[in-house]
Amino acid sequence: MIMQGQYSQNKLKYPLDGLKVNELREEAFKNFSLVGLPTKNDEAWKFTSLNEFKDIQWNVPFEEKFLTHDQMSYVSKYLPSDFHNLVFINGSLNKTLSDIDVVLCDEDIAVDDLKINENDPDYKLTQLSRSFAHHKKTLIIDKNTKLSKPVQIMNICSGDVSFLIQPIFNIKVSDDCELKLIHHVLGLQNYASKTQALNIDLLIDVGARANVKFVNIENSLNKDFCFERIKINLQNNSTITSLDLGLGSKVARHYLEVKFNGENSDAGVFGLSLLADTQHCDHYTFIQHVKGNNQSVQHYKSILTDKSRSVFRGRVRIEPNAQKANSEQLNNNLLISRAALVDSVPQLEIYADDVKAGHGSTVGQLNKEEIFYFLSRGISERQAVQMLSYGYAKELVYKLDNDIIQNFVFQILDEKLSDIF
Amino acid sequence: MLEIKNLHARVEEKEILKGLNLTVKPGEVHAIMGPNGSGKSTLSKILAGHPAYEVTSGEVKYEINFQLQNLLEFSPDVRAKEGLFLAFQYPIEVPGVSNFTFLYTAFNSILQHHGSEPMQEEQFREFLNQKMKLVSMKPEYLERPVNVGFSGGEKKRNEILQMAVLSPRLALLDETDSGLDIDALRIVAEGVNKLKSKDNAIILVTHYQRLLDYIKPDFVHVLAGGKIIQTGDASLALELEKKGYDWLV
Repeated sequence: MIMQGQYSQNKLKYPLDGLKVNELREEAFKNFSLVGLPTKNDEAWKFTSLNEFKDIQWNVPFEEKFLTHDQMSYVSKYLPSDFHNLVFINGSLNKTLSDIDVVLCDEDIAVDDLKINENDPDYKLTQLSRSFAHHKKTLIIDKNTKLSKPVQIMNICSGDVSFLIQPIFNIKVSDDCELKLIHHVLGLQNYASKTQALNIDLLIDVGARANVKFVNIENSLNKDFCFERIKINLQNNSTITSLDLGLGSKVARHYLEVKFNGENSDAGVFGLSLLADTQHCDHYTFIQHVKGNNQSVQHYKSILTDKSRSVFRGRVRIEPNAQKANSEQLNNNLLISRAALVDSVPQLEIYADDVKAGHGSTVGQLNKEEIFYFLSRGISERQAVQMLSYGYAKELVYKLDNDIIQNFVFQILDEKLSDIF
Repeated sequence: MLEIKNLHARVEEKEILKGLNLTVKPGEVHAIMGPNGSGKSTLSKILAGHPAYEVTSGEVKYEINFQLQNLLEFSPDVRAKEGLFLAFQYPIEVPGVSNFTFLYTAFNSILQHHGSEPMQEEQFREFLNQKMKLVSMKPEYLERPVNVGFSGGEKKRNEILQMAVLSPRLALLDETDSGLDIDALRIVAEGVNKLKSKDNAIILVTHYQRLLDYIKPDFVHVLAGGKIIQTGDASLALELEKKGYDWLV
């Protein structure tokens, strides 16, 4: 994958202020050119191939992209007034569709942002991102922030050429504050476009005694790529409830990391893949109990039909001093078609001795007796499958415990299920 | 309404029905009794179109649009849309789908099949409330997932509730009385009796004569060895209770 031309253009258009940052960006690109993208030889990428992604000639967007009137109408359906909405098109904020009440800062990229940790399973993709980095978008929630509604950050990628869009978001929730956040990758269905790729970093810092509800909705087009690295840092006595939905793309990678940097915190980490055709979604979750006395519950489900494929790798690491850590992990998979495939890998790294760490995984099909029960009441098989799939997924959405966000998610799930079945 | 001629059927390679004949007219209540393994449940499942059961020969004609048509040609959901209803012997639990959603979807499916507009939710809730009184079901059951956490009696009452909502022309009650105590039995029987009319028919598959004290059959058939070997009126059931099946088989 040759990006030299794009790199030079980007460097010219977005020079960085400071010797060190320029050096680090240059180094990131140099290393990317040497090392390239993850392959199936990388354990963390064993079940997901980036060969198709590699073969495309990617472009970096240098101009703002405007949507047609029709496209704006389409997008508006997903921008309810119940939310503060921020809409990014190819990485740039679209002021028409966005809510001005939310103060999102555009900051220069700093030295810390450009440091690459090679122990990070997805560091190669981070390297690709940092080669082109210039700004990051920061949202700070503190005592003075007056946000009464959930915040939705929407990313749309579109164009007549294939764009590689690589935004960096940093969300900081201060001590004792709370935030309801939705990150939504929306593919413009029924509108002609070349294949797009989103390679995004979303960092969420949760302060002490803070509470965050987070939903990640990845609803790209069948031909698009979506690589997400979501990193959540928790301080003392904080809580996070996260629901990660993979609803379709050619290849999606959801890397989700939760780090307990303090004690007495709670993480509910939930996820759902609902895939059809030849869609592929790879969930790599990494829960790190750095300190002790924290609780993490993880429950991911997948519903797969046609020739789709889902991967779940649930990695949990409990450090030697993280005593009294409590970690539960469950992965349930529903295969509706014969050709659907799921790979489920629990990965527990436990170094403390006074902990609870459980894991479980199931793979099953729809219960034929249940389907017959529906048929015997005049409900078609298609509709029965839709209702049973919805019932299977519902449980996870209710974990959010917030009517407004739940209803939004249910609407999207409904739509998706109607499309698929 | 229903004509079964020389029906042979099997399940898992084992022949269960070996030449069954039965005719049912609108307004009639037929009881089918017989020893265990005789094929009583098989008959219900075959009529409802359960995929595990295979018809090897014979005819089943069912009245659709005032014409007797080959029932076996229709898929199970279409049979239900055309007024066939099976109250299961062992109703299963369906976690994740509420009783309300299940009933509402089924009701509108059938309505739309007959060319009508679907009923709005509020209207349906009112309609449903009336029907629930028929089987003494509490409103809170509606939001629970189908049959989850229901006792045996509650599951059977739920079957009759569904029957009340969907108004079938031909109802097959498969050992509806099994596992029920006297009170539950009475509620179920009362419900069924209220749903009887001159335009619909009921086939009661039952092992015990008890249910027939409450739901009076017009015909009693004895199914044994895969065939109906004796047909009589309600008094036949009483005779069977006294003598058992041996004298017939």
